[in-house]
Amino acid sequence: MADTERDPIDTLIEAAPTLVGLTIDDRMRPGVRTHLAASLKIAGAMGPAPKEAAPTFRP
Amino acid sequence: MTDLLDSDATAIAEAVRAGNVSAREVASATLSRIAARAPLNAFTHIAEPRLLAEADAVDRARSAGTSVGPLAGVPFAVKNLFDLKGVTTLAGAKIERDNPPAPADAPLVRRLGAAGATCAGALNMGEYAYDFTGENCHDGASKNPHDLGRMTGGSSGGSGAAVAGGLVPLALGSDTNGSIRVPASFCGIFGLKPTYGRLPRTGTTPFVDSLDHLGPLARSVRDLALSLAAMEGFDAGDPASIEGLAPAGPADAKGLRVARLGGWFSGQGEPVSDAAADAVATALGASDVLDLSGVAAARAAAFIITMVEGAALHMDAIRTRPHDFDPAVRDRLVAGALLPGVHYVTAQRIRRAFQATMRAAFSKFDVLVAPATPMRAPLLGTQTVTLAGEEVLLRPNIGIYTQPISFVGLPVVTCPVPQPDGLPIGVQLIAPAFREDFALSAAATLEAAGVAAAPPVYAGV
Repeated sequence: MADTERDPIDTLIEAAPTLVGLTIDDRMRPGVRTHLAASLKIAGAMGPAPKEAAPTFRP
Repeated sequence: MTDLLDSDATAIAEAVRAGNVSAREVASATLSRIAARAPLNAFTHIAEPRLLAEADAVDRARSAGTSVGPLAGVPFAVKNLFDLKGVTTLAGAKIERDNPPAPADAPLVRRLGAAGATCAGALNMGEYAYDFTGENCHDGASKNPHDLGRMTGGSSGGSGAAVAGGLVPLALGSDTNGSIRVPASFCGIFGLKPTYGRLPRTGTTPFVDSLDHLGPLARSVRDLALSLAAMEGFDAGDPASIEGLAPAGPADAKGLRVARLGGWFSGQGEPVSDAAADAVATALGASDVLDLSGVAAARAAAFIITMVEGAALHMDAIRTRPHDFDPAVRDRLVAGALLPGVHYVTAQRIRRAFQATMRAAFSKFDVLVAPATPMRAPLLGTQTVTLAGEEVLLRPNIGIYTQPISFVGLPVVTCPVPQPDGLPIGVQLIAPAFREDFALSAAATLEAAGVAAAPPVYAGV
């Protein structure tokens, strides 16, 4: 990564006050960073979903 | 009395109804047992006056010749996310401790009471149920009765410890991604996660509304069936509660078609987890190994839904009291708040697709067998584990076998399979939606054959 490029995870964390009204302080940042990176990777691993399926659920 | 406390709820109720023992004697012995085994750290609130008063009421009813119910004089306890009248509902969290006491019992508590059961109190749990270990940073870890240096599993860790440790024969827990099935596996007891919508969640602290289930943990299959029958039924306070649902049938189904789940559900854990599932499959006459498609995506989608819905639920507290959370819980919730919404919608779409996959599987089979956990109870404080030759983080991997199943709301009985060295492991018996009777029947078969068993144990002094 070039020096001028921002890590996208850091960008998201720094946008937290705007996105969700929350400032992520230094005590929280390492853990949030780890879990956010992991969850975005997991989200990417879900793969494509059928477009006709509605986001509602009944067993 | 020791023998009776070490039996099961059904035996206690029979003894009370027959007048062989009073409910008061059972309650008093239970309180002594809870005190003597305090190192399990199972209880966060011991409801001594309530337990004794309810026991006395059962004895008075019996003396008067009125019906005392199928659970007469059976002590039970609940994960501390259930409302108990007059007790602050903790949900394992520091943040909840200053709240006023609950004004009423949760409906499931009321229904057990109406069946004659007596409430012994509230049980330790992982903070806000976002936990698979049973380690609570505010109340301390619940301890595994087989080895007090090991995890109970979570998040219904106190429920696992209380039942396996012989404190009470019956406990209630909740299961979002495996929180009944994991402690049942680690503690060596039976656990039932009913179909989503079967048991109303009114009067309990939610975690992930579209995934949360409530259910019992017990030391026998008949106790699971008995308590389910006492608790089931619609309640308007839970939008997911299903009105007009037929009661679950008795656990006596015959000729069940059984398959062992392969693929995702095989080879990811320690060999003992597969060996236990194989033994169960063999005992049930399973002739097929079924490799489902889409399980990895289902598990990933459950993970995303959990993070996002959990974050939405706790966002206000995260903003105002972030350092009163367990950091391990808080940081996952904050990450969930930052996930783009498109991922959540994709996850819900995957849920519908995986539901279709499971329905197709159940057109050929009645019960599917899979390990409950990829390992036996780890030592307290464990952070990493070696699975399939690779060192991985423990916490995110405890639920790899449970998470895809609760994702589509299917009923599961977790059966404890004893091991020669004394540390048990559980196996999931998965049934079609609303066919709890299939899973319970298969579990009863295993119990009768001695393949599954849950004797109470206490490794402390």
